[in-house]
Formats: sequence, structure tokens, C-alpha cells
Amino acid sequence: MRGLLLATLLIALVIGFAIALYGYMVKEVHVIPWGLVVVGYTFFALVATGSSIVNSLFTVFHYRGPDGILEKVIKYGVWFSLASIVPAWILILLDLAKPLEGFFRITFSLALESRIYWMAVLYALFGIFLALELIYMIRSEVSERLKSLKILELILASLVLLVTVLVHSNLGQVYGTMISVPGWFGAHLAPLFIASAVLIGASGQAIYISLYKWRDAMVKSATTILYSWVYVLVTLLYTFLLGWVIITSWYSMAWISWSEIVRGAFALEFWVVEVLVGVVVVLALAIYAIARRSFTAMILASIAVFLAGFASKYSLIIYHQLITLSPSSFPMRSNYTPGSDEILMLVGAVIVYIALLLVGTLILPLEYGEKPRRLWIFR
Amino acid sequence: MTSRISRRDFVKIAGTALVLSSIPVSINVVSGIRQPSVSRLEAIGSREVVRTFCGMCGALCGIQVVKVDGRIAYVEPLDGHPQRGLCGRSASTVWLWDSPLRLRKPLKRVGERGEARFQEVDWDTALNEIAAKLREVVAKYGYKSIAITHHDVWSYYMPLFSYLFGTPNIISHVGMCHTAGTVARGHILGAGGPTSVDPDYENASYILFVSRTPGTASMGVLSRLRGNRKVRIVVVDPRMPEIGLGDAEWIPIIPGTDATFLLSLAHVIVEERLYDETFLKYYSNAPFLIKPDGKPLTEADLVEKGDARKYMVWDAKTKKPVDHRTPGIDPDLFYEGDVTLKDGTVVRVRTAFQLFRERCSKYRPEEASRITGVPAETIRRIARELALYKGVVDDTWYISRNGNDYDDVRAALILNVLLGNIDKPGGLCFQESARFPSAITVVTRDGKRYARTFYDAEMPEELFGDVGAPRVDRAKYRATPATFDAIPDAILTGDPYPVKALFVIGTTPIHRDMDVDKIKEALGKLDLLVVIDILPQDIVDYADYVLPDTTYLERGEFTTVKWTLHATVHLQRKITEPPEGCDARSALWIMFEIARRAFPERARALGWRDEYADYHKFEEFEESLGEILVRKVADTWKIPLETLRKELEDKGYYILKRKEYMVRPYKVALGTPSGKCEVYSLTALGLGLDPLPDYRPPPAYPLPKADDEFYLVNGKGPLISAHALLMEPMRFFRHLWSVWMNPRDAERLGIKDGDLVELESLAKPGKKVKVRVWVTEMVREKVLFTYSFVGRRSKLLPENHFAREGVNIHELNKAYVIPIVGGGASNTSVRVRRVK
Amino acid sequence: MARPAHLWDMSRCVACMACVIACNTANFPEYMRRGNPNPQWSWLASNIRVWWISVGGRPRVLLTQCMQCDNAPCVKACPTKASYYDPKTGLVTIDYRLCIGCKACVVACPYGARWMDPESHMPNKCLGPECERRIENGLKPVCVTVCPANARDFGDLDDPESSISRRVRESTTIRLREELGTKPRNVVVLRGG
Repeated sequence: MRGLLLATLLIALVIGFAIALYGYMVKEVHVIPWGLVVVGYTFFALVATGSSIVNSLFTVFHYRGPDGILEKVIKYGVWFSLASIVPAWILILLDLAKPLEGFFRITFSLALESRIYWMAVLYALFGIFLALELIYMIRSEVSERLKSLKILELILASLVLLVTVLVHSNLGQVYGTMISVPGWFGAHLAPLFIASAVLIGASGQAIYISLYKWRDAMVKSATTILYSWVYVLVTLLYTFLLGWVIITSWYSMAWISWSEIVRGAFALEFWVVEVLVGVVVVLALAIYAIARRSFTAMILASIAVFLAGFASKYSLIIYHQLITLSPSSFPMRSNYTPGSDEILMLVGAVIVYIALLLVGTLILPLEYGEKPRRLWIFR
Repeated sequence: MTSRISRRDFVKIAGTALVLSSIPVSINVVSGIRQPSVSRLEAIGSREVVRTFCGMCGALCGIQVVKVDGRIAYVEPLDGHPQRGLCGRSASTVWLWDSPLRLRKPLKRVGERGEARFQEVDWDTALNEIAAKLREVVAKYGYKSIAITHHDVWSYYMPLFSYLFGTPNIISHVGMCHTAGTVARGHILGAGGPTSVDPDYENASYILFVSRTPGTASMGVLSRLRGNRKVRIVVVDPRMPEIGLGDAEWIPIIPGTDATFLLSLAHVIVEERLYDETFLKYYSNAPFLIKPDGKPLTEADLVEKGDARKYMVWDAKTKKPVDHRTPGIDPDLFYEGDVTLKDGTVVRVRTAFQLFRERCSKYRPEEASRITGVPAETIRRIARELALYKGVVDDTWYISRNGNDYDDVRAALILNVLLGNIDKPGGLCFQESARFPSAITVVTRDGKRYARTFYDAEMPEELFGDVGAPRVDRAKYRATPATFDAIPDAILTGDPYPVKALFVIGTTPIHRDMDVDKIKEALGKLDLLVVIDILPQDIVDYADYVLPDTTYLERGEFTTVKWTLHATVHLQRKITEPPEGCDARSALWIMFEIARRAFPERARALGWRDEYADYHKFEEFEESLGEILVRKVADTWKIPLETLRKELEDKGYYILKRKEYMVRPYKVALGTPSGKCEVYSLTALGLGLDPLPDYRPPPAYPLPKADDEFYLVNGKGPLISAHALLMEPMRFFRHLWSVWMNPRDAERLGIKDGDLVELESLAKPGKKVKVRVWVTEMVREKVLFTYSFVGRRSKLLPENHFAREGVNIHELNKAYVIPIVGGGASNTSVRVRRVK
Repeated sequence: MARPAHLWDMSRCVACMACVIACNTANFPEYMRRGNPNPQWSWLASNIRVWWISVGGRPRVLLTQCMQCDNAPCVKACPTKASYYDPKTGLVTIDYRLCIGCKACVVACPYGARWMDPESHMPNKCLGPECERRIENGLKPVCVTVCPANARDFGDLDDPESSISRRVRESTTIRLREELGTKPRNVVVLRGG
């Protein structure tokens, strides 16, 4: 049974790759350079790094969470983060003209002034450190020596946290240093991305862990509390930051695009999806979940956060490119709908993601106290 | 006037000299042409530069074509050429040569006229069938039932075709272009077409363009204008012409009111004494004494056997009427008094100037402002600036707009006369004639007439056929240079006599002439319609036979440069053969071959030999024709043939004579009855027209009144020509394919930029066309503007071809032709309704 | 040449599109056969962009191309150093061997001067390949050569006797969006001398 499931997932993995690759091969030029594929990439990068920050609560700060839940599910958490970076890498490489050369040409160029140069470096470090951390966690179940090297554990975890924070603040500033897009330009996208990442990452992690362990009552009740609190606190922080960004944009060129989002062509999406669902409904559900210990409410809140999070990245990345300044300092408007090539790449990457996540869950010893039995790190 | 020379023969004769010259040569492998290569471009390698002139519109600006690895790659201007290019049309030359739309094989109609269903046939079939049909038509209706209409291309040979087919009915496009202006130029200045007089663009200090948009056809004019750093430019137009995008003052005006504006300027100039008194007295007929019946006082009125061509002026010195040419007189511009005629009657005479002044006083600036929409202060300012800067008013070009255009141009020309700025540096100047040989002239020998071609073939007068018959348009419009509108009338009504066969060569009546429905109906009644063209213009759908012509890249031509005051000739070179699969042949060969098959003795009489049926033999003959033209020009101007050849070879052009100022009317009389500039047109008087210009509201269409009614005006631009618009790059220029609407009008009607609207003609109620709107400040309120030649419907164009966008104004106008003058009117008025 | 730059004269341009189409035919000859040669700009395959604008209610046209910034955001944004300053001329040049098509430079340009090539998925901008060859051989770029309105020039800003330097001295000129700190070399003439 497990073998059949594994085989199916591996086939799904291949199919996902094929779909994404096909999308790449029929790639078209769209009216804006960074479209749905870049949105998807950014989204998954934030899922990966944000959930990694949630993990750091335990790995760095030793906060074990209600009923010690974080300690219990930490290996799931780390695997989730590691798996989540894969669709991000797939998407960003397929967005290039030369995916196979991309990473190497960037890393060895030493273009230190380029944000994207640092993205490549930081992603490499993120991947390496996270993988090392997971391997460490798995191996320390069987190696007492490893387990006792607390300082190594702390260093590794701290490096992961440091790189994580650098990744999504640098990612924010990939956009934030573009003077060509007034709606992006500024130092605000770094903290905004950190907050957004924690929200999206936590919600993804919550859905993954809670659904995987839906029979475990303790997990259910503990994750209800943990993640709901994350949603409440970080949503308030995110709203606070975004509010100041919008207010400050009134007196800058950024208002040409923010005005369309807040009260123009895109206002419906913004107020309904990002504000009503992403803030009001999420807060309500999360508070309710805490007050009534409602697992359902927490799951619903997680879904809301996840989807509103995607919408907020879509609107941030796309809309400000659609309404920008022409060289004559007049606003210029474009219209964009995602192309079928982009949708194919995104769908393919998502299939790969889910399949990979489940494959890892099946073959890695992620349970609390579980020991690796095969091939050094596998269950 | 045009002619052709192929490079090949040119070189054969001059070859020895060239081979010995030290200029490096590069070889055009495609057609064995040798070119001297002197540019650094060729130093890059695998590049070749061919000097020629452009054929993407009728202006013929100097360009050079750059070939990369034998392929036509791009186009550059020809520096030093007096009419230097180029524009977006010329730059699109690259796409013309092997355009997928290009006509490639002779086609024969198999469906109904207009269905555009054709079968490909070989040349012999097509030409033989056309010839057979022509013989039928001539047998029934005579030679004069054959008509040819054309544009600028092949126009040099048209007089020859007239004799070839024995018909007078060779009628060009000019009735829908500059006819009204040409007649005006003839009447006021004794000049001819738009290039016969022109402002001295390089040296002018102030130019007023009314209904003329420089930088539309001839980019050479723009080059000359923009090379003049001190010139101030003012354009008066219902829409902002392209030159208004740069430094130029645009004065929006209500369509059809130009004469009011110009006469108001004249009023200010006259009342404020800003005119050039000396010029008016001695070089114009302003001081002529006019009798109450409007006729000029002549010697014949005063003495027996007096000369009716000695026009009288009042000499202030001797206080009597004298012949205006008497030396040492001081003509009184304002004289009004009694004169005793030879029969004893006493008549009150006034000077023409007085009459003109009276005419202009109808248009004080406040009154003119009411009619034109131009503020009175602006009118005063422009008038004073014209005088202060010794400005010039452009003599116009495309002017077939509102049906009152003849008076617009007369008023414009008279303004220049008032300022005395005629044939002076910076003024309105006469072009130096290149004295280019005519294609055919009639000579008399031993009491018999012969039509002699420039290559010395002679047709005796018994073969003239109906050449002497009244031309269909001249029968209706006595003074016209050409009015094609008379042809559909003749086809439909048989008046003055039926026209049954029509050749359409390099022109597109459905986008050129008024009232598309009338044209289509007329085409339906023809016995034979032959279209010779390079691309599927709308007219092609109606043809019985479609014959593919060569483009300017595939033939040589030797002709005069149009838009320069210097007498200049230039050479167009054959750059390439037609593309693979394209059996295009020159219209010259086509017409002669048809004539040979239909009326062999006529063709033979004009020097055509049976062997020329072989196209290669024809090309050799054609080269010899070019040689003859070069030789004749060299002889006329006493230039050594080698010198002329070499310079044409090296530079592509030759300036025969630089503009000499102060000649006309100072040293040489004008071609007017008085020999002087005619403020009061005696020719017009003789034709029964008002001798002075006046404003009459546009007769061509009902004036728009309601909120949703607009003027619909059309015009040209630097991207506009019938064939250039079908080139791929044009797809991306939205302003070409939309109708322009002012933002205030758009807002009032709830129309947004890019919306689809329906225009219903007020001139022809029920006629509706849908078109997209471009909301722009570049057009005046109450006016919609469209370019010409858009809104295609040919079924030979793909369903979704971009050229189907836009509105063909001739679907919405009603045919109106200025009586006697023969100028058409393309503008109209419409009601606008938003569709979506 | 030490500091070559373009000049475009707003007081003379008549939007005849000779330069736009010349750039297209000289630098991108293969593209017009395709239905959509420049999907990003909905335009022809050309490095010159045309903006129909209104300055204080007066219609104007603005033509832009790569501004050849001395502090180019595209060069900073490029992660592989494919976009770099030519060591002799300082012109912003693209090494397509290094370019991976990440489009950061396209996004980064505040003048919208770059467009993604629908075949290679790499960025195009002024100067195109034919114009680069022309400049190397002492000629001017095609857009400058073809202009009938005397609205363009190209030359060394560091040479006070070059035609472009003289023209800058004699005219009222601006550079676009200078406040961004990009140090654009290209000059826009507002009013000629």
C-alpha cells in the first residue's frame, strides 16, 4: 500500500516536472517582465523561509510551544521548509532563459551590487544549512554524540535563522531597490516580507502538520493555539506595516499605483481578499480558535492566510508593474492576464511540491524520536 | 515628368571611363550592376550602398539603399540631395519588396466585379484578351471611350499613352489632390502644380501654412525647413499636423473657413498699410482700373483699334490712365474716378486694389473670428508678424477638402503678393525649370502634323484617333488640370460621351475619389477594367484583369527632382529583380504590349517593335530610352555627357541650375494675362468666376449643428501613402487607424479613448461606418480627423488585417466638384454614436 | 570616443517614425515576419519607443531609447554582469553569453528602454547590432542618420567641438528623470538654438 502510494507520488513528481517544463518551452513574452511565475516563486520562497522562522522559535529560542508541540513536530517543520523552497527554485529557474546555467553564472559572477546575485548565494546557503539541520536532527536520534553537541545544534539553527531573515529581506529589496517601480521602491518591503513570510509559512506548515496528524488530538489542540497566536500577532504587525506603507505613499509617486489598489481598478480584490479575508476574517477565526480551542477555526484561518497571502503577493508584484511612470513622468497603464505558459509552469511546480512534500513525509523519519533505519537518513 | 534608365546600359557606355577611374567598385551580383562604393558603410564589409530616390509615395526624396549580404537591409537619406529623405514610409521599403501581399501574377476575374475571385493566367492570355476586348470597345464606342487614370508613378509616359490609344482621357488623381490650388496658382501667378512655386524654405524667416502640412509627403521639404534655424512656423488647420508636435504654432480653425482667415489677414495688412507698395504697384495688377462690369479698362476701351491687352492704370504723375507697362509711372493703388470711353460714355473705374480692399473689409478680425473660431487678436498678430518678418504663406499642396478650396489658395497667394515676397530669398519662389524633354510633342512638317516621341518615333496625324476630342473632365470643368470624378459620371450617364474601358495604373480610386458607391456603380458598368498595381488596393477587387507592376526597386528612372527650387535631375537605379515567384513587369511594357496586340499600327508608329514582347529585349530598349533622356538633358544644358553621367553615378543627382532669385515677375513676365501677379484674376473673370477670392461656406456637406454632429476632415501625414500603409510596421501606429476626437467632445458624449463608434454621414444619410476613436488634443472641438487611405475592404487582404481599421472618408462623402475649376472635396460631416 | 550619447530634439520631431522603423529594419531584420514582434511593448521590434503626451495641455510626442546612464540601474541589477559599461565608451552593453534572461534589467530600467526578445527571451535595447557596427566604423546610429527633421544627433559629450556638444551649448536641454540619480547621458532638447 505504501509502496503503491510512493510510486504514484513519484509519477506525480515526474508529471509535475513535465508540465512545468512544457510551460517553459512554450514560454511567451508578456507585457510585464515579472508575472505569475515570479509571483509563484516569491510566494513559495516566503512559505519556505517563513515557516523556517516558526521553526526557529524552537531551534534557536528553545520555545517548545503549547504541550511542547514545536519540539514534537520540529522535524516535520524543517522538512516542510526544505520542501517548500523547491517549487520556488523550479519557478525562478524556469523564468530564466537559461535555467541550467542560471545558478552558476550568477554565483560566480561576484556581481555584489545585484540583489539577485545575493538571492542565489543566500538560497544556496539556506538550502545547505536547512538540509544540514534536518540531517543533524535525524542523525542525532541515533547518535548520542551528535545529540550532545548542543552548541553545534544552536550554531546551525542560528545560521538557518540568519540566512532565512536575510533571504526574505533581500527578496523584498529585490523589488524595493527598483526605482523604476514607484510602488515598490523603499526600505519597507524587507520588514513587510518578513511579516508576510511568517504568516504564509506558518499557515502552510499548519495545514501540512495538522492535516497529516489529524487523528492526533494533542497535536490538534496544540497547533490550534500555537498557529492561531502566530496569526493574531503577525497579522496585526503586517497590517500595521502595510498601513504605514500606504499612508506614506500618498505623498510620493507610489500613490499612482497604490491608489489603484486602495480605491481604483484593483480595489475590489484588495479590500475583499486582502483586507476582509486576509485580516478581518483571519483575526476573527484565530481569536475564536484560541478562545474556543477550535481546530476547525484554526484550519480555516490557515487557509485564509495562505490564499490571502498569495493574493497579496500577486497584487504587490503585478499591480505596481502595471501602473508605473513613463519616462515623461506620466503614469502609464498596462493590462495583464497570466499566460497559459505561466499557468502551466505554476501548476507543474505545485504538483511537484505536493508530491515531494508527501514523498519526504513518507520516507523520512520525521516523527518525534523516530530513528532512521535505511540509507543513513531514511525511515 | 518621369523616365527610366536601367543601370546596365548606363554602365556599358560609360564603362570604359569608370573602369579606368580609381574609385573602388563593388559588384551587385543580382543584376550585374556596378556601383562606386565610397562610404564607410561598405568598409564594414558585405554591405553595398545604392544611391536612388524613393518611391514609397509620390514625393521621390533622395535616398540610398543599404544592402547587407545582397539583401536589401535598410534605407538611408541621400546627403546633399536637394530633397533629402526620409520618413517611416521610406524606411518600410524593406517590407515592400517581398511583401506577402504583393501582386505576383496576372489575374483574370472569374466571379462578379467586387467579389475578388480571380484565376492566375499567363501574360499572353491576359494581354491578348485585354486587347481583344479593347478592339470591341473601340469598334462600338471609339478610341475616346478608353480612359486611363494614374497617380505620380508612370506619369511621364501618360501623354505618350494618350497617343498610343488615341484617347484624350488620361486623367490623373490631381482632382482629389491639388487641382483647386493648381488652378489658383495659374490664375494668380501663372504657375502650375504645387512644386512650380514654393516658399524658399531654407531661407524663410516666417512661414504660415494654411491647409498645408509640411513633413507629410515630401520629407525633403521638412529637411529644408528644419535645417533653417531661424524660421518661425505657424500652421492653421482643424487638426494639429505633425509639425505642430515640435516648435510651431498651431492655430485650430473651423474646417472650410480658411478663406475667411486669410482674407482677414489681408484686411489687417491692407488697413494697417503693411503691404509692399512698390511691389503692388509695379509687379501686380492691383492698380489696374476696373470698370463697373468687372472687366479691366484697356486701351481698346479708350481708343479705336486699341490693344485689348494693354491694361490701364492711373498714373499719379500725369494724372491719366496709362498702359501698366509704361516706364517711369507711379500707379495709384487707390484711384477711383470717372473715365471717358472711346464711344463717349463715362464710367466710374476703381482700382483692383480698391475692390480687393472692399472684399477684405467683409472680414474684419472680429467677424472672421466668429466664422473661423480663431481669436481676433491672433488674426491681427499673425498679420503683423507676417509683415514684420517678411513672411511667406505656403502655396499649399493637397487641398481637395471642402469645395471652397480654390478661393483659399487664391487668398493665400495674394497675401504673398501683398507682402511683395515673390521670387525673393525667403519668399514664395518659382522653381527653376529643368527643361526636361516632354515624352511626346506635336510637330508640323510639310503642312502635316506628327506626334514625335522623345526617342524620335513619329506617329502621323491620321493615327491620332480621338486625341483631339474634348477630354471628359475638361468638357465639364473648363479650367481643370484633371478631375477624375467626370469619369464615373461619363460611365453612368454617357455625358459628354460614354467611357467603356478604364485602365487604373498605380492609383486607387476607391480611396482617392469621392462617393465610393458612385464609383462602384460606375465600375460595374464598364466593359473593361484593368488594374495595374503592386499591392491589393481596394480597386483590385473590381478589376477584370489585375496586372502586377514592378516596384521602384526593380526599375530605373531618370527624372526631375520635385520639391526644390533648383533645377535638378536625379537617377533611380534598379536595385534588384522582383522576388522569386513574382512575375511583375513594368507598366510601360504592359501598355505597349496591349496596344501592339490591339492596334499594332499604333504601337509601331510610336516605335514599338514586335520583339519587345520578349521582356528582356524590352529592358534593353528601356535602357536606351534612359540614355536618350540623359543625352537630351546634357544637350539642353550644354553639359558634357560624361560629366553628367559621372555625377549621376557618384551622387545620384545633378543640379542643373541653382535658384536664381528676382526673375519672375521682375525680368520675365508671368503666365498671366497681365504678365504680373494678379490680385484680381483676369483669367477667373474670363471663365465666369469671381475675379477676387471670397469666403463661401463649404458646399460639399451639411454643416454639423447638433451636439453629436461633427465635421469629418481628412489629411495626409509622413506615414500616409496607399501602398506604404499596407506595410507591416504601420500596424503599430494607432493614430493612423483611429479617428481623432477632442477630449471635451469625447467627455460630453461619454466616449473613452479606444472606444468603437459609428459615424453616420450627414451628406449621405444612411451611410454608416464603424471606427475606433483616439482621444487627443491634436484635433479641434467639433471636428473628427482621419488620415487618407485607411479603412480597407479588399477581399484580398486577410480577414483580420490591420489595414481594415480606420474609416475611408469616401464612404461617407458626397461627390462635389468646384464648378469650372474642377477640384473635388473629400471632407464631410457625420453624426457620432458610441457602439461599445 | 570617451562619452558618446544620443540627442533627441522635441522641438523638431514630427513623429514620422523613420527612426523607429529604421532601427527595426537595420537591427532586427527577421522580426517583422512574426505576428507579434515585440509583445512587451505591443510594438515593432525596435529600440525606440514613442509616447504621445500632453505638456500643459499641448500635445507633444516623446521618443525614448536607452539613456546610456552613467549610473545605470540595469548594470547594478544584473546578477551575472552581462550588462556592463564598455571600457572604452562607457556605453551600456549586453554580453549575451553571460545573460541568463532573469529580466531584472528590464524591470530596473526607469525609462522602459529594454524589451524582452520573444525568440531568445533576452533583453534588447539601443544600440542594436547594426548600429554598434556603424559606430565602430565612424558612422552614426541609423536613427540619427535617417531623421529628416534634424531632430537627432549622436556623438562625444566630452569633445566640446562635437556636433552634439555644440548643440547642447546652443539649446535648452534636459535629461529625463535626472532626480532618480541614474545620470542619463542622453539629452532631450526642449528648445533649439
